[in-house]
Amino acid sequence: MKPLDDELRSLLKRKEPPEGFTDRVMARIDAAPSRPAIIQRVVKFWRRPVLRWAAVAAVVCTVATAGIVRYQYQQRVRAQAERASREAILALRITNEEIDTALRRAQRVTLRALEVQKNPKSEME
Amino acid sequence: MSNAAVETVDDALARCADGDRSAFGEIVREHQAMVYSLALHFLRSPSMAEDLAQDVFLELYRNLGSIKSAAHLRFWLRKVACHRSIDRMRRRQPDGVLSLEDVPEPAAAEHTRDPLLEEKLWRLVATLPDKPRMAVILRYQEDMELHEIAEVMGISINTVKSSMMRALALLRAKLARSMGGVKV
Repeated sequence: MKPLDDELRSLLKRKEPPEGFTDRVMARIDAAPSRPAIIQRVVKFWRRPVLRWAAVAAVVCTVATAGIVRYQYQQRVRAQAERASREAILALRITNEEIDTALRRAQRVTLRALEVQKNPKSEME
Repeated sequence: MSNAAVETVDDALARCADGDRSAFGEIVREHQAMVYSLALHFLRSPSMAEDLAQDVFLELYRNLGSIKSAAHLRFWLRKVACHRSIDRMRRRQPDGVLSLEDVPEPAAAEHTRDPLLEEKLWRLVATLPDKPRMAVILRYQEDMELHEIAEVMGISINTVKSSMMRALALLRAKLARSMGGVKV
């Protein structure tokens, strides 16, 4: 008896398909709906390696440009926010000073009114 | 594949790229036995094997632009035939009903081998799991090296090595048992 290797080699020998196989394949190719000419042209166009690299370069450029634009936009927004914050602080400071002035004036008026109550003659004088 | 055959296929590929349809017929004729046999040995059904082989060549026709050389074509056909066969086997109904076309033809007169042993071996090969079975078919039908099998099947060379060893040990053991302890 032959060793298993030889048995398998003999068992698994290539076999030709039934007669007319190639014709049946060609008939199926003819029957299959072919891609429209425009799609075929686009596919052929894209298979050029130069175009593939150009497409990669275009994508890289687009991503880089988008990144730069976004960064600049963020910087602008940050600057606007800082300016608005500074203005708000200034406004608060001014308001605070005005309130202080008003309070001091009110205190002075109150003190004078108390003095008049204690010593009505001074008002008369 | 001889140098002349490689040149013929390269020439046919170039003519296909120029739109010569008859060149594709030459490519089919050159590789039909390989694709059909891979499917036939794996599926064990002549009608399913022919259908699958036709599908593979149809897919090749649609992807001809990506084929770079005769060697690349052979690799591509083996890879697609191998993966489509495994997919089809997984989709196949488990009832195992065969059509009349699927009944194997009687042994040819030129056969000098023991038909009983051959049938036994067929059955044993068919009991192997899908991937080890395909590895065995690629090894013994196509005479491929382990690294080539790994590339075609998209698995590691160690997986191919171990599954081949297991498959052959299993076949040896089962064959010996079925023949009453004769060593093979």
